[in-house]
Amino acid sequence: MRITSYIAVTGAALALGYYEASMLGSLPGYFIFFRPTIPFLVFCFLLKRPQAAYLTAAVSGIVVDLIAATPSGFITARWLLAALIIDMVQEYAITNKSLYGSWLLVLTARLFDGLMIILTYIIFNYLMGRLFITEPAVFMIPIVLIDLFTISVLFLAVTLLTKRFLTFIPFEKGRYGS
Amino acid sequence: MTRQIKTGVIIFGIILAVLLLHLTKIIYPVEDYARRLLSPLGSLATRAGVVVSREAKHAAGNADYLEQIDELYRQIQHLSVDYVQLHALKEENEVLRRKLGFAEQQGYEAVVANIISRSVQPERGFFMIDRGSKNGLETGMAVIFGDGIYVGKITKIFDRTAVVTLTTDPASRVAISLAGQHRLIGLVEGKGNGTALATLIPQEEEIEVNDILVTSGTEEKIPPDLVVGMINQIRDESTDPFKEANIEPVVQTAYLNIVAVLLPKVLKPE
Repeated sequence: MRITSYIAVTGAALALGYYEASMLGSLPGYFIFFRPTIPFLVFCFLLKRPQAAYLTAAVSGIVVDLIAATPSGFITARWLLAALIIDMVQEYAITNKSLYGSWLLVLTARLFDGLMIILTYIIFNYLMGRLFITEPAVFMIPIVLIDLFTISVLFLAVTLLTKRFLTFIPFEKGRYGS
Repeated sequence: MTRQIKTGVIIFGIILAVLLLHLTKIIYPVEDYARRLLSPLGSLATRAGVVVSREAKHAAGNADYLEQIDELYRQIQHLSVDYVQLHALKEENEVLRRKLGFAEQQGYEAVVANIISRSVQPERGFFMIDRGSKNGLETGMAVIFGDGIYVGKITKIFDRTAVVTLTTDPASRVAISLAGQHRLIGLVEGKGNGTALATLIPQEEEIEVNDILVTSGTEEKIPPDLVVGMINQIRDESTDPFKEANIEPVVQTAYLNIVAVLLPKVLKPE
């Protein structure tokens, strides 16, 4: 990546971190389910920019860990590991760059993040004696649905504006384009 | 898999290193310095969120506003009467003090702070401010809005920032009296979602709807007569030794951007 790309990605990561740490608590209640960081990580991998994804996970995670009002449970580690999982899954399991593939990646990342939250809760509250507050498990449903919507918007925007991915094969051609 | 393995090793190494440095507190000065750098934008982000909240509420419609205005006018009427009586008592108190030659009372200084982040979960009530132990703050100090509306207290302190637990948070407890009296009558406990409940009020205590509850001054670092809230419903079972009252905060903490922390001054002889 070029220097300007690193600067742009760092700026985006800071914006994501400030949104999740500072702005989210002040916005109207329905924004609580909009968590754009993980869909953005998936988006970076779809654009074949793994460095951008890891940089985003690190920078935005550090912002949240430092200035969130409630303990964030070392979210930097969670997001870095989520980026690693997305990297491995998109490389070896979901190899095509499709809308459904991006949905599966987002779903995998969010479920992995949920498992990490449970692990963090056990470690913080029972092993370390510190307070870590988790959200109700039922919140995962709207968060996942909005994640799917977000990645769909990003994917379709790139497809329509850049034609970087093919989302369909015309019906007049055969299944394999012959 | 080589790239992912290398990346995984690096990530695990960084995570373990940072965890170790954090647990041994070696990295604390770096964290505090980073918080200091990040705080100004955090404050801006919080304000932006508050502006969006306010606009969303206005856009939701004006149907409830007339009813709210009527209710506010009724409260103003009650408060006006209380104000007049309290003002008269205050003047009388000052005259008596001068006559008796009392030493200057223990007072409080206020440190103004910006809110840089809020808790995301609606059932909890925390926010982080951009002042910390380097500004003289300590855990347990009262946080107020305006001239004397109690918002919460500091529960966690860093060098440059602090976490405030609001009165509406389920972990919050504050000792209260009725306005104008300096007698402990109960506790206000947070119930989450912006609500609080006054509990352990003895049956013989006479309370009414619209009565103002204030801090009792029995807690260290929390001065008396800070307004905690207004009673809007009383739960009174004659078989219970205590009664309870739903408390309505007099300020909407969701829209606050700036608060003040009260620092007790040392008692000065006259």
